[in-house]
Amino acid sequence: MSVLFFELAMTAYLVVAVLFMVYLAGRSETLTRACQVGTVVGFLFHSLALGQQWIAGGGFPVTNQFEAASFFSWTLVLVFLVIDVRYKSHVLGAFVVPLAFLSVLSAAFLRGNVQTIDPGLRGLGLTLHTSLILLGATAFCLSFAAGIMYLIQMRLLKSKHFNALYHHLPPLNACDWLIGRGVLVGFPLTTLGILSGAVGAKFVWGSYWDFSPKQNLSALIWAYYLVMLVGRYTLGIRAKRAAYMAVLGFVAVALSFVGLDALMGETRHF
Amino acid sequence: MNLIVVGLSHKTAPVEVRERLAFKATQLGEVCRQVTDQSAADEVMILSTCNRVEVYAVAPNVDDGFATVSAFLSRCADGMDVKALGPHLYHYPGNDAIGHMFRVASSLDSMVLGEPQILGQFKDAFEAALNAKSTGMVLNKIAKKAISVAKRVRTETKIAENAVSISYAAVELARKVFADLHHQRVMLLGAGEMAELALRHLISAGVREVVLSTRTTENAHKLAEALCAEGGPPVRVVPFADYAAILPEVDIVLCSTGAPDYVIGPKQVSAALRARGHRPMFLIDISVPRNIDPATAHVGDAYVYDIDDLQSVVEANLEERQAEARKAMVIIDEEVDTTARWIRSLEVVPTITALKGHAEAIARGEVERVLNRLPNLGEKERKLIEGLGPAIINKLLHNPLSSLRKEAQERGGRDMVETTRKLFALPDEGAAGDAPAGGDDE
Repeated sequence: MSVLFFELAMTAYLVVAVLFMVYLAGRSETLTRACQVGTVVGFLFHSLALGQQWIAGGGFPVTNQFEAASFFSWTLVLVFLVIDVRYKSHVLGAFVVPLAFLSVLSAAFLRGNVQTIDPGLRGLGLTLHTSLILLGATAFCLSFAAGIMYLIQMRLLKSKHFNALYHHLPPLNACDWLIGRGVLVGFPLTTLGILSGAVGAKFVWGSYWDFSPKQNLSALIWAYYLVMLVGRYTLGIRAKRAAYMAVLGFVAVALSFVGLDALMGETRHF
Repeated sequence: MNLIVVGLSHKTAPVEVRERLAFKATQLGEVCRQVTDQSAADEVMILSTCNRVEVYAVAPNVDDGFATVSAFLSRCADGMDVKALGPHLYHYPGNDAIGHMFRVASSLDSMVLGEPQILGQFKDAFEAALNAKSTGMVLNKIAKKAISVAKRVRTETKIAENAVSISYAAVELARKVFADLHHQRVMLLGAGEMAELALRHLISAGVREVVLSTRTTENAHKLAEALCAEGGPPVRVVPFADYAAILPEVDIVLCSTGAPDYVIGPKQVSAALRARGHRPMFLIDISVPRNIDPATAHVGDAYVYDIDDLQSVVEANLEERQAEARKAMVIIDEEVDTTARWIRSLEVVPTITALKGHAEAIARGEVERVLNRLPNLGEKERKLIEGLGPAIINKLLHNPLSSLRKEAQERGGRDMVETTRKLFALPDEGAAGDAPAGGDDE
């Protein structure tokens, strides 16, 4: 059953992603309603799927890569819906929903070979660590989406190409604000996530930090976002620079999530 | 019952003709009364703007209405007789008149498609006619409908969206960079007329501060005084020699000096951007020859537009409005149809009233006759017999009356009216007198 809900959610996200692309290409605002409804429907199915996983797994469903990817896209869609209601920024969905879809799609592929975590690792500490890291990633992902929007809108403004996309996309400053907000929220979450992971590692493996590639990459990403956060006010890392950094940063985050485990064949997760 | 329009607009008459006919807002009511007195029209409303003068009237006979209203207008246009004015006038009867009124109110007939003033002018004209009591049921209904159609067009199409003037296009572009402009500081460099207009648009969009810098400081002070008198954000005057030093502080630069060469170049702008922590800058060059080096556009976080760029924005927006106007026409056709049906249904109102009156008279007579013969009835029985007449009439006439109404809405119902009058031997419409108005409102 949880597979059914999950697949329904995935289908809804795909349909909405396609609808958003059609919306972006034209001038009409009529599709936004369908996109909103579709997103909400997908989100409800997704919530049901998560709820079932929670009950079936007997704990918060972030215990393997499949669940993590699913949880990540769920929070992403949730935050988009909140922003959409609060700021009426429908167009953000055109960038967020496809990402959510890709994330659940990758989750669907991962479901085949779920590697359950060593029972010794399970527990509140891991749940906390994973959830914090995933919430941080959601915030960074929003910065990424806003960065993409910024860069497209910047190109359109610079080339004086006032097409449908130009009309749909938000003002540059609004994108920049969202980039900053994403980092501002994502950075402390990630910091706490890494700290809780280190504390957990101390308990399980006896050391806070063992310089595995994954841990080093995490530290690099953390430092990168620290530079972005502080640089906004001191080094003038805003506007175009912030947009580029937000895009690159999240690419690194995504790689550290999916790429490294596959590449390194690591045993430890998260 | 026919709505007619007689008038002229920027499409049919040059300004030399329009200015002779234009009525002042204060005299509109009086003129409306004059038209009702001096023409074959029952209800009258006059719309007079700088681009059009139109008389909307309800006339029993279309041709008489056209002739007398045209004659009236030529009497008002000083020095022009019917022959001279005639070629500039257009005449629309019936549905065309309704459609025209809707298009005018919705700004589809305006010089600048979708401009917002016309609806206000239309409302004022209607108000004036209402106060002069020169309108009646038909014109009231259609004019109110025109106002609601105009609102519908405005909300359901994008006819009024996007700037169609160069100075406003600048504001729109600024909004695409800065979102709302409440935190932005704008600098006006030079004193071009169009730049000043753009500045005023930016001020009404809510900019935080205005910096003025002109070669002759006196001019800047004069403008600053004028702007302060109008209220709005604080205004600062900076000597022209120092404008470069202020550059990092301002977000929007409006440049319109008479200088023969570039006043702002890429080096200055990138220095300014560094100094302001790479917050974007928006530079508009409304001067010919240009005052901002086009190479400035290549500086990151600087958005530079010259007068041609703004012009192309305006043209694209006008095209967009044309496309929206086509959508609006569909709405208008739809609304004209429902309004025309309502007017047609009015045609049967006298017949319906006459028929009802006829039947009621018969019933009353018969009931009275019976009651006179039965003087000993109790109160209850009397009431019952009295109620019999109206009950039978309503049952009997229900179907004929509703098919009459339906027929009227769909086809005008002339034939059926004739038949009904013959069948029930009702007197002719003229003889029956005017039907009480408002009896058959939608």
